[in-house]
Amino acid sequence: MNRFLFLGLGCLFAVIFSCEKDDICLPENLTTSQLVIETFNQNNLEEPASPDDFYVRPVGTEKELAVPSGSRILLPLKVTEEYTDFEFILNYESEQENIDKVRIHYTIEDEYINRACGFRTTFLFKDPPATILENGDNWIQSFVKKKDTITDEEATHLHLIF
Amino acid sequence: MKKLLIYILFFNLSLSFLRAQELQESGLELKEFTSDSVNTKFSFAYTLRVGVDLSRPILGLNNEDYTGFELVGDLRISDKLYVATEIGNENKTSQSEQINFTTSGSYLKLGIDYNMYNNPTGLSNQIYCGFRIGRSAHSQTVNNYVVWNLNRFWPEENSTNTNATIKHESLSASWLEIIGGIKTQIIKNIYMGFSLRLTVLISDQTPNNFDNLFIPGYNRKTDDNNYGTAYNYTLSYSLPLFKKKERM
Repeated sequence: MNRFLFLGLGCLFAVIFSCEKDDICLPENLTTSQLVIETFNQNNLEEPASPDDFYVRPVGTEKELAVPSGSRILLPLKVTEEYTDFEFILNYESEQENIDKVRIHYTIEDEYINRACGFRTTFLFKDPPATILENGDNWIQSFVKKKDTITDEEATHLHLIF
Repeated sequence: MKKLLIYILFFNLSLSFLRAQELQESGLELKEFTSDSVNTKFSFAYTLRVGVDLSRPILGLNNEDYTGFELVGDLRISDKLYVATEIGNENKTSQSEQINFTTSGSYLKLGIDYNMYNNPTGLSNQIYCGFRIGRSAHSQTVNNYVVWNLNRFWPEENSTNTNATIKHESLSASWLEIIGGIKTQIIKNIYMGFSLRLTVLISDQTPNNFDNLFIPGYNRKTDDNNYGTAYNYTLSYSLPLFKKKERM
């Protein structure tokens, strides 16, 4: 009788451990947002404008960002540090190339979503939200904070004035 | 649903084997009792049974991320009814998709079993169904996690929060269990049993900015419904307290 009991229980164990549902994080859940910057010429703060041959290079990685099309750029922020450095480049790959190294300052808050997605990061700007690290021949005039937090990519978080 | 049907199938199979065997054994024992006393028969004994769950220590043996034990007990209060309880403790470190977390805590379950098996006098074999009300007191510790980011630009080490150990204390959960199971005497006064439980989470106190992804005694909490399954596999010792006599 015990042989049957063990056999039966063995089968039950196999059934219990064999199937477990996979958790998949669906794309409609909010993800960690990128920083959205819009660029403006200081002579016209009404209409966004693109600097000439503008390019942004992240500092500390070999990876490259796409060449910005238009005046709205999206920048990925590091989720384990309270700053991310970028090189904002005017007249990219030309004789008059001008590189401004910019540090974005923020604090991190990780928000729990669900089992499948885990946590996403929201960023809160510190004051000031962005600083130019190397003083000298800077082409960037200033940064203007438009949002206090980075939780989505719908609105613009920072204005860059050149 | 398909999973449930398979459970029931195996359950019924093992029951029919048991029943056939028990009927043969019981014929002998009944004879002994009737020759013994003419006017009196023992209808049932107030039997207290205490034991341990074998599955939890076995799971802990080959899994360094899990330790657990469970004490079980039941008291026969009438011919068919048993008051039953389980008390246990579990510590489990899980990697759930992006999050690594540790749950530790204790639980208590209390309920009634209804025996559907006709025992020969003096035995407390069970083919039973029943229910439990369960409650846990536990803590959840988030060890580390990878931040969910559709735009994976920065390398993995820049999206893994490893120093985020946050301990959420004083959590609790309540649930209901519907049980089917068997208990069979294998040696005198030693019973071996198995039970399968369908669980329904009634309420749980979730940690701030996290969830009770695992609850001691209840098991895995899922996002999409409040149902779960659990089981135990017990070895218990039966202590006859006193016998109730009935006039024929």
